[in-house]
Amino acid sequence: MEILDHLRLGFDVAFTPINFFYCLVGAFLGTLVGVLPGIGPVTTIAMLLPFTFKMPAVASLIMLAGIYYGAHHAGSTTAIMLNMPGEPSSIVICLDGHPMARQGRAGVALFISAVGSFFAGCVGVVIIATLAPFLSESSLLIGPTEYTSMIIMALVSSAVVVSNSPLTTIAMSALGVLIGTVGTDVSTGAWRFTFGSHYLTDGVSFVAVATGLFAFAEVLHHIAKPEPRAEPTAINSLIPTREDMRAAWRPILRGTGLGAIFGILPGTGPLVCSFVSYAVEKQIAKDPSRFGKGAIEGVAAPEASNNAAAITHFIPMLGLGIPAGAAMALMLGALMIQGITPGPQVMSGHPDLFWGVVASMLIGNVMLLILNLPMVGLWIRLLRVPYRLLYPAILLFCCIGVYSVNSQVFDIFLAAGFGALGFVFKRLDCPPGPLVLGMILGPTLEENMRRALLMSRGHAGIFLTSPISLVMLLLAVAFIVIFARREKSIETTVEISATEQAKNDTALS
Amino acid sequence: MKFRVRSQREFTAGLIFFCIGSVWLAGSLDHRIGSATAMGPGYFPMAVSLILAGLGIASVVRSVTIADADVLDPWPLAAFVFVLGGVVGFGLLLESAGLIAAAAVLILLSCWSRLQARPGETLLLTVALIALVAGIFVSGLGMPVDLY
Repeated sequence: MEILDHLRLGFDVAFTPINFFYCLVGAFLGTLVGVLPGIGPVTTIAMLLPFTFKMPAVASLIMLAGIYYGAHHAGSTTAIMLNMPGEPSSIVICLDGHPMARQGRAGVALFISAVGSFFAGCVGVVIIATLAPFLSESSLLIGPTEYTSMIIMALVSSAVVVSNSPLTTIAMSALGVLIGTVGTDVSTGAWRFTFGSHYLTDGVSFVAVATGLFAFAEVLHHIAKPEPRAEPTAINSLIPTREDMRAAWRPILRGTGLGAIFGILPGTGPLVCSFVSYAVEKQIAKDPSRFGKGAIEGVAAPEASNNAAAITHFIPMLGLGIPAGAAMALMLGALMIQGITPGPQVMSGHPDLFWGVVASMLIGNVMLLILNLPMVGLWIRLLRVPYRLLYPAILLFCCIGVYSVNSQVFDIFLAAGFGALGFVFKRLDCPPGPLVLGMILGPTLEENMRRALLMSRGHAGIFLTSPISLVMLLLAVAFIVIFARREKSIETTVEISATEQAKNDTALS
Repeated sequence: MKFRVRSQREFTAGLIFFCIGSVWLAGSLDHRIGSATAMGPGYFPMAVSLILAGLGIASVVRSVTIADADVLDPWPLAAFVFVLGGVVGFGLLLESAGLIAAAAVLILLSCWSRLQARPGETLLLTVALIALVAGIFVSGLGMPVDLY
C-alpha cells in the first residue's frame, strides 16, 4: 500500500515534537492575528512570513500552513460574527453566516463551519495521497511549452475573477511579471532594471513587496476609511440541533467534492469555488428564498469547499509551482526563499516535506477544532480591540520582519514604496494579488518560454500544436471571455447582495 | 467629437500602467534583444512591457467608453505622509540610532493624529510595544540589532 506508506511517513514527520510544536504555534498565531479586526488572512501571512525563515524548511512550511488555515478559519469567524470577510473567499460565508449570528445562532454557524472545514480537510488529504503518485508520473508529459501555457492560464484566470475590470487586473499580473525581471538574468547573467543599485541585483525582495502591498497598504486603507465599529453578537449555543445536522451534512459533502476538484485546477482561486458551491446549494434547494437569511447550507457548503480546495491546492502549488490566490503565492514565495524549487521533483526529492506538510494539515485541523470551539468566547473578545491600538503594532512588526530577512535597511524603504503603490492601486480598484502571483511566476515563465522557443527554433506555433498547451490557452481565453462579459465581478455581486440583505434586515428590525 | 473620461479609476490606472510599461520598455532596449530562438536579456521584459503598455492604452480607451462612471475619492494625504514617513524614519534610524529610537519614531509618527487627542494612551502604547518588541526579538530571538 503505497498510499499508506506515504501517509505514515507524513505522520512520522508531522509528529516529531518540533514540527508538532510549530504546527500548533502556526494554527494558534494564524487564528490570533486573523481575528484581530482589520487583519485578514493575507495580511496575517505577510506579517508573519519573515519570522519563519530562520527555521528548517519542513518546520517553516508546516508553520506557514498552520498560519494559513488558522487565519482562514479566523476569516470565517469574523465573517460570521461581524459581517467582515477577511479574504474574498469568506465573502460568501458572510451571506448566510452573519444572518445566522443575528438570529442568535452564531455558535451553530461557527460549529458547522469548523466541522465542515475539518471534514473537507480530511477528504482533501486522502485525495492528495491518492492522486500524488499519478501526478508525479503525469508531470513527465509537461515540458516547457505546456508549462508556459499553464502559467499564462494561471495568471489570467486568477486575475480576471477578482475585479470589475479584467484589463487592469491582467495589467497587474503583467506588472508583477515585470517586477520579477528585476535582478540578475539567470540565462545571461546580465543585471536588469537594477536602476544602478547593487541592492537589486538579487531581485526585488519578495518579503518587502508582500509587506508593502498587503500590510502597509492595508493599514493606510483602514486609517483613511475607518470601518464602522461592529459589535459582535453574543453566542448562545455551539451545538447544532439534529435538524441543523440533517440540513448540513449533504451540503458539506457536495462542497467538499466541488472544492476538491477546483483545488486541483491550477490558478482558480478560492473565491470561485466557494461562490460556485454556494450557487449550487441555492439552485438545488427546495426553497431558495431562505438563502441570504441564515440558511445553514449557505455556510456549510462554501466553507467545506473552501477548505477542501485549500488542501488540494497543494497539488498544483507544490507539484507544479502554480499557486492559487495571494495567500498561496506568499507561501510559495517563502518556500523558494527556503531554497526549495516547487515542481514535480518536490514529491520525489523532498517526500518528507510534501507528506509532512500534508499530514500536519490534518493535525492542524484537529487542533483548530480543539482550539477554536471552546475558546470562541476569547476570540470574539479580541474582535473588539480597537484598530488605533493595532496598526502601530502591525507597522512595527512588519518593519522588523522585513529587516530581519536580509538585515538590509533598503528592504524597509522598498516595502514603504510598495505600500504607497499598493495603496494607490487599491484606490484604483486594482487588486494586489495578481501582482504578487506575477512576480512569483514571472521568472519561471521566462525560463520556460525561452526553452520552449529554443526547442521549436523560434516558432510560436508550438504553443498551439501541443494539445495540453492548447487546452490551457483556450481555458485562459475562455476565462477572459466569460468574465469580461460579466457586468460585475463575483465579488461585487456578492457584496451587493450582502448590502441589500443588510438593508432588508434593518428595515425588518 | 468630444471625449470625456467617464471612469476616473480606470483612466488613472491605465495611465500608470502605460507609464510603467514605457519605462520598462526603454529599459529593455538597453539590453540585447536577441531573437525568439536565442533570447537576449531584453527579449522577455520587452514583450511583457509592450503588453503592459498596451493594456494601459486599452484601459484609457475603456475609461472613455465605459457605461458606469466613477469619480476618485480625495486622497488622504495626511495618513499617507505620516504612516509611510514613520516607516522611512524607522529605516533611517534603525542602524544608526538603534531599535528603541527607530520604533519610537515609527509609532509616534504613525499615531500623530492620535497623539494630540489621546497623548497618554499613545505614549503608553509606544512604551509597551517597544518593550514587547525588544523582549521578543532582541532578547528572545537574538536578532542582531542594537537597542540604542
